[in-house]
Amino acid sequence: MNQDDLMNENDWLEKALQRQERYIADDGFTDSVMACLPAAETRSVSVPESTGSSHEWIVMAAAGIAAATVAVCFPLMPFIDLITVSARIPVIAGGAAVAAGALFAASQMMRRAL
Amino acid sequence: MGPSDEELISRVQKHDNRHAFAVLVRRYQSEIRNTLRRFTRGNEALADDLAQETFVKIHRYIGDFRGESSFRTWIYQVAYRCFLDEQRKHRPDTEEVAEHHLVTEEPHEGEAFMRDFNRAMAMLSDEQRQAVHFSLQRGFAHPEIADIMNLPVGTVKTHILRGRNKLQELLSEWQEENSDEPR
Repeated sequence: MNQDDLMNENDWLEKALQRQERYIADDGFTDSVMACLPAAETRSVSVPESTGSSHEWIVMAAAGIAAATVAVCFPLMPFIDLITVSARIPVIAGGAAVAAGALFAASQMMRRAL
Repeated sequence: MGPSDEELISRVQKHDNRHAFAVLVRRYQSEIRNTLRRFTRGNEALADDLAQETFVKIHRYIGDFRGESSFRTWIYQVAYRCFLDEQRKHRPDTEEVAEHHLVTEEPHEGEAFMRDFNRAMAMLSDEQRQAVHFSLQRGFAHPEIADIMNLPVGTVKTHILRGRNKLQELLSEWQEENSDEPR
């Protein structure tokens, strides 16, 4: 049997089989599948807030750098001594304010993340 | 003509769009149920259960579908695995049902041809029968059938060749009738 004969033989069989294929009406099949699916997740439409905006990240980074600078310039023990030096009180107060700001911003971000 | 498969899949992946998924199910339900009815040899209830399981799995894993194969090939791959799992669990039951349903299915115009065809198909091995079905009745290419059946392409070609040869031999009278028809 040559290739053409083989093709013709396959051809008639293929055509005959495709002619015989009957369509199965849906008759509620799709509904039964849909009923088996797990409940749809409720998804937030907006960008998730937990990641924070870029503006918040810049403020956080600046506050962190400021707090680190204060910590380096005024290590713990000298800091206690400085409390008595009235001339440096504004500097200490500034550093403390920056550190407090950084802590506050961090707590806000943590709250949103949770 | 409705939205393409890709469009519908994207809607399901991005927004878990149930309407889009229902359109996909409606689009493929008939051919998948037909295939599973053939594989379960006419056990309609079992075939429909397997088809349902197939579409539920498709929904569960659709997020992982990257379009490396066609969506149609992927559905058949999942359906075939569901069928094989079922066969492993309940093989004797499937065989028992088979004999009963073989005679009664396809009660329409081409009933006589389909009865003979089903008898001829029953003479093939399981894998030959399945490969021939995917090739002749579903029009899949050999590499796609290899994906669906998780077999090497060479093995698939062998199954199809041997299966076709047996079918042609067993259905030779029908071939003569067909060749008498005007083309």
